[in-house]
Amino acid sequence: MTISGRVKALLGRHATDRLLAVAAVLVLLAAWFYGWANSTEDVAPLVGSVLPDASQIEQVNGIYAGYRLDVEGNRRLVGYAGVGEASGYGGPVRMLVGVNPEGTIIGVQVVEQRETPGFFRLLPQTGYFDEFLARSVSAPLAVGKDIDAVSGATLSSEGVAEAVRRAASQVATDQLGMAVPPEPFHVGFGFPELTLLGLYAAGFFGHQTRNKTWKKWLRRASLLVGALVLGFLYNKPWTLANVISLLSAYWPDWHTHLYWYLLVGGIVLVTTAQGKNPYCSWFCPFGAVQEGLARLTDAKLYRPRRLHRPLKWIQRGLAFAAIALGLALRQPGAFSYEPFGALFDLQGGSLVFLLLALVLFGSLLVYRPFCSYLCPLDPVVELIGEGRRWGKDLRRRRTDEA
Amino acid sequence: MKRSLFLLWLGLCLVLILAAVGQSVWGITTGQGDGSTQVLGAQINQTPTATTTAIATLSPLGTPGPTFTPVATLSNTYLDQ
Repeated sequence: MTISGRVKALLGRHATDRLLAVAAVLVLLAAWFYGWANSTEDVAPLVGSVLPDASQIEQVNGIYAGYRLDVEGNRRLVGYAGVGEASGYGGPVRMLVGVNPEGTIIGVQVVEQRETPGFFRLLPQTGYFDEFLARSVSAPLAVGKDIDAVSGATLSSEGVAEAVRRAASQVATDQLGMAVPPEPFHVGFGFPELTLLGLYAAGFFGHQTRNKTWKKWLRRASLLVGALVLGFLYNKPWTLANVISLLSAYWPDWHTHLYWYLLVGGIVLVTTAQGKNPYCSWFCPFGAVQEGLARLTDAKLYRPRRLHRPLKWIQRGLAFAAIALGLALRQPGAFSYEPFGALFDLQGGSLVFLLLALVLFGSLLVYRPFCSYLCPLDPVVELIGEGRRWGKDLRRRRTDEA
Repeated sequence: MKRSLFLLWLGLCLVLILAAVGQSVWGITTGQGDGSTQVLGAQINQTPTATTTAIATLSPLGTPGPTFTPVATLSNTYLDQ
């Protein structure tokens, strides 16, 4: 068989689509490596900002010691600085923490963060970092105990607090010989996680049942719960930021971010194993809101015959560009252009609010217009589904040949 | 729904999305705008060069004058501030 024949046999039907999918994956791999090669942050230049009185800084075993010279030329210890890392919303959060010899935090600085800019910006704006200053390294330094989270940026607040606590603990135990409270271990399983599992179960039974009335009402109930709980109550829909975090290998601690694993892992697993999308039509909060608006005006699905396919390619192109940029610049949240946060948490820039207004208006005229032509997650599910079909095709042909 | 109205709607949405994404790219790559670097100032996420971060030592009276050490060679040496 010739080379082109082999390639055609490997690609099977839909050869063009699959060739494009392969090319897209290769570009994303290149973006991933570019981002990986350029993602190292230099801590040293920031040390002065958390030990402002130090004129000399020395690094020993990953901890920085700051000194100043007195008039006689003797070195006086000003304090220590350590780095701690924890998981935020989009990826790791690394914090540099300065501690004086008495064990009091005197400076806090962000070394690295991959959070959504619009949300993370709330932290300095509300003086969140100042909450840590003048506290002892032996304090709990935990959101909900002695630190107040910033509303609208809870996951980022928790990530920062955890990173600060880890840095402070390292300095306290390694340099100051102080006892610090052990890191609390708890599995974050609560109402959102329980609801999510319930929604998966509803979707599973909905896909299995042959009773159309049951299926219809189960789907409506799932959408309503999805909109109320995952949307308006917790603002935890599936976003492109989750996809980019997953691809960037920014996987958070499972015990504190169980929801992330249930949501992202569940969608990928069910789509791969079952070949059915468990999320979009069943409990996507934003889809539910669009569907609710469509019900008000009896708006119908709009698929212009000749335009539908080119428009779908625009949607795929947008999603692809956003993922490639997110991977290359290692900023999962910055390219997640869905207006979910604007609707469910009233957070976002003016462009996102304008987009939200347009989408909500469009939803009165057309059934789920954002899902059909703009949402970046639809092409992601499509790609997983295409990979599954391709794998099945190959297995079937091998069986036929055997 | 009329096709022209739909296309106008879609075009406006695309313009807004592209503007938002462009704003993020510009912000991240230049340290301004709506990118992550705006969050806490331009020093975050930017790797300083040795030439821009060499800082003089404060020397006591009667001792030799200031010296400069590049931060890039900080490991196990003194960072002069």
